[in-house]
Amino acid sequence: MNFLIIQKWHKKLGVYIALFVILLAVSGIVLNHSEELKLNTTYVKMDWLMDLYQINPKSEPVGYRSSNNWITQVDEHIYFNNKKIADNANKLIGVVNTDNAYAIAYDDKIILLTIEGEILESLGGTEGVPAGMKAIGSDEKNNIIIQSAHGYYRVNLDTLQWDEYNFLEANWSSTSEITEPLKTNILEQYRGTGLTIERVLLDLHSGRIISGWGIYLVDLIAILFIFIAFTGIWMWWYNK
Amino acid sequence: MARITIYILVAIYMLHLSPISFAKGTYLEPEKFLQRVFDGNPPEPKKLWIKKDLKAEIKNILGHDLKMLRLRYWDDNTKRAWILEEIGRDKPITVGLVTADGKILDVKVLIFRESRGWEVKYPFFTDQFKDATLVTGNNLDRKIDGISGATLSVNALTKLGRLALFLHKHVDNKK
Repeated sequence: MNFLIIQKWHKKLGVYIALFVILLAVSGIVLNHSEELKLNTTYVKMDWLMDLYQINPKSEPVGYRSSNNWITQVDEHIYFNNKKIADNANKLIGVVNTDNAYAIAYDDKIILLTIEGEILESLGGTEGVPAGMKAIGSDEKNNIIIQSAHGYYRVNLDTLQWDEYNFLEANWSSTSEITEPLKTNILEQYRGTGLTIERVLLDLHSGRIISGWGIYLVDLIAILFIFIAFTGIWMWWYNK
Repeated sequence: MARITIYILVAIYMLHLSPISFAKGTYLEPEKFLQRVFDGNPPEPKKLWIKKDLKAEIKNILGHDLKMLRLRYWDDNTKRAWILEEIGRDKPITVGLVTADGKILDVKVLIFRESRGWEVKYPFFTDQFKDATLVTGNNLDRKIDGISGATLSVNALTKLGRLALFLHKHVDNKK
């Protein structure tokens, strides 16, 4: 009687989990060779999958113009014209063109760009960038001026000299309305570089692809694997 | 079959109720990291230009280009501190590394921005890097044990350990 019940459940559950065995084994093998297969640098182009991951900007692009170049923020990404230069940005503060470079301020960081748009370096609190930056601009001598929560700074970003003042006049960087072609271009890029194949496979393997419930489903499947293994061994032993 | 489906759904629901805590955020401000490393008196940062030859080697280590032309580091002539970033899964992990005499003295995860893989912040993991040196191919002289569920963060920290040692060696060779 016991044997028949266990055999029945073994067969039924076996059918359920066979597909998962194949899925987990194949995705596991592929993920083991993720770097060789360049899965971490190849982006998904399927619209339905990008929609599933909600790879769409949550807010309208915000742009600052300087010498016919555009610095634009789309969600947490910052672009120089249509080239992405920073991720994880909360608030783009502005841009200043100075000494053959652009100084782009966001959050508590300043990115220095060459005129061609190559990142020279990224400066943060450890290099003296003040907390609570509010605005970036330049004075009549083309010095960079920063307005922060605690005062004003005249900055030499090469020597990292930060001279503090109570008040400084400046031509402050302000937003402009970005052109439609640039907006379209940036939004296409935003989606096109938003999701790697590795991430999809990892999420498929761990179950996270179906949000919070997925990992528990995979946990349960793993428990069923154990059940099937034990009942299989038990039935073999019983018939011996 | 319908009954089994119901059992499975109920079990998933029960499991979903279990508490989960994620630990992303700033563990140690980069400025405080430097204060600690240099006993409250960090030196002025120095510039390291990433020229073509250096860029190629860095690409071999990270698996992608370092997207900047120069880096700053802190050097008091006994040790060097590096604040480097590498993406784990989606977002960069900011890591402070201290090097001296071609070895890693310390590794600290300063800012972790993702919701998974944060276990790399614990000393049981970062202590594996202590006294690590570079061997052929700019690899570490030891295998860094992974953490289940944090593979990408482990890979990111391992790459940064290799990068810090490589940059340390490069600065030594320039002298």
